[in-house]
Amino acid sequence: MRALNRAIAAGATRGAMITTEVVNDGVAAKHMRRAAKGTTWLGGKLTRMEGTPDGPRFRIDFDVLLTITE
Amino acid sequence: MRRPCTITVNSRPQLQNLQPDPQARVFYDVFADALVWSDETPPLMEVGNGELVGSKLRGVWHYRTSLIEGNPKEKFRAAWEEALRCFPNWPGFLSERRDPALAPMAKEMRETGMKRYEESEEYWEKKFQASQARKAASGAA
Repeated sequence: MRALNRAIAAGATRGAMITTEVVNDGVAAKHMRRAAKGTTWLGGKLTRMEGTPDGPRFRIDFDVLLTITE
Repeated sequence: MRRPCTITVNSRPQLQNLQPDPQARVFYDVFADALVWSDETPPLMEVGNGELVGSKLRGVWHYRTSLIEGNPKEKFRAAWEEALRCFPNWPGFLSERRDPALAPMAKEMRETGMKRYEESEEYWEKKFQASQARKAASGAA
């Protein structure tokens, strides 16, 4: 969230974020389900990338970046 | 197979030179699914060429937590052994940080940490949906 809001504050209106290796099986599985079903995460489309032996990585493409405020 | 020192190419010297902090606090890292002590990464998480030290240590932390829980995750043994070989003086290798006596705390911190993570994800997803609805409404007006 912090990274997204920082990008928006810097003027970004769209963009992509790449996660580092997700070692937590539960969190990785959730992201993989989203990637497979096309479910968005905060409006971003997830794509599974080639990972490392420690876990998968994901690319999240945001066509529209919206400031999320409290 | 023996892995080359690739985990933290740019920050290996910093990790090797870290000193254990007697006041270090322990927390649960959701993405590593592991216990982590606050003195195990350099003060700045990002060093040399933008390398994110914490994210590179996830496999090492996960393996250590699996040792605590008496159920070593073999998939991460190579990461652990690589770290032992490449930065053996790292505070994360203190024997008291892989003591099986920590297992109940690890279990409790995982449960609490995952619950908070899921609640936070839900919270931000709702906030996002609300922001989107506000934007659509202002566009329609």
